[in-house]
Amino acid sequence: MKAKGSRDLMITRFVTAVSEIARNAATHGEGGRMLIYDLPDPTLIGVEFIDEGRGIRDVETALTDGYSTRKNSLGRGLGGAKRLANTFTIESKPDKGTVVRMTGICTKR
Amino acid sequence: MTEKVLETTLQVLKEDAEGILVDWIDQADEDGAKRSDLFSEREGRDQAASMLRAFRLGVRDTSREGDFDLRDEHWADLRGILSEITHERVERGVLPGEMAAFVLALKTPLFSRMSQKLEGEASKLIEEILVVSKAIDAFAIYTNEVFIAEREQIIERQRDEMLELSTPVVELWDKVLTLPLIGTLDSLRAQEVMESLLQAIVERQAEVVIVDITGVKTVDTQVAQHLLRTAAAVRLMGARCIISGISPKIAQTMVELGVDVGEVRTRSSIKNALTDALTSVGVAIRAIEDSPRSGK
Repeated sequence: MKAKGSRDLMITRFVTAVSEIARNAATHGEGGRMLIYDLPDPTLIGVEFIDEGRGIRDVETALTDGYSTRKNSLGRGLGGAKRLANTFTIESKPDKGTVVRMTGICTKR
Repeated sequence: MTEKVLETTLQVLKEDAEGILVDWIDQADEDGAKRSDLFSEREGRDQAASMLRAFRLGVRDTSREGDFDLRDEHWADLRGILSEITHERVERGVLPGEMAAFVLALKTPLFSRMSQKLEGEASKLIEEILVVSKAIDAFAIYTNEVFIAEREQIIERQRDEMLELSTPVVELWDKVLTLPLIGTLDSLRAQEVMESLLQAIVERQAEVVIVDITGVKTVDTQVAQHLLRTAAAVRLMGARCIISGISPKIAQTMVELGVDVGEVRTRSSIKNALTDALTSVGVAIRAIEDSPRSGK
């Protein structure tokens, strides 16, 4: 993103979102793959996370702030990542795994 | 036949152990494995002699059983000596290649004597040389493995040391502590941070603690969680916690994440936090009035 001339704020936001989702994949999804895409639109960067963990039963609820399956967690990671990323899609099937796709903005404005 | 595979080798080792030793050390010097700057000639000689002795014992037992396997019981002596010598030399800075070259140099004196013994019996000579060669190669590889294991231990120890060093609690003033955090804050480090901080509060009877996160790259929900928990623990100890060094971009990101810092005090820079902390313990930093640089 830096090479593409992205603003520092945009980098911080996107890196934080990526960090949230990556940790979710590691702690809930039993690890997985992370793919980084150079998109046709040069002002965007795409990241895809694929895990084959236990999945999310109710995505809507999981996106709600303060909801967490764990005791010692703020429960804001998923919703926060959605707000921090430019676009955010999540697909999850219980016991099959979860796929999260996000894009970040790489322009100077 | 197989039981007698190393017969000549054993014979040679028995008959001319001293000669082999001398030639071996000479050969090793020639191959550039000598490090007279790192260990004395006598030491090198003693080590080589004990290796040769263990080698002979190993060969004797192997020639009874036939098969060669470095993990076998009768090579245990040699393995022990090899790792001992390697360990000693690593500490003195000998390179792994030099150690292996030293072991491999044993081949030359051994093979030349064997070929004298077995003159005219080419196939038997080749057979024996193959087995001995395999054995000596295995020893050379073994010294390398010992080398790597030693290095790994060093790395492990340094990582532990770094983990401790990375949580330095500094006393800025009486009852004012600061903890500058740098890099990433994972659960393990967060735990270290919390422990050393709480310990320091007790030892220095601190009233204010400044946790500076200027050097922390990303603050995601987990990092925020760790920080808030540390602050809560500090408060339980009766001290105040100020989190400083929150940059504009991190502030915006934290708002977007919906992290609520609650009652924890935050300051943008460590300078502001320090002023704040000093005020609360009843001290202030002022310009010296009659100083030529005070502008009056």
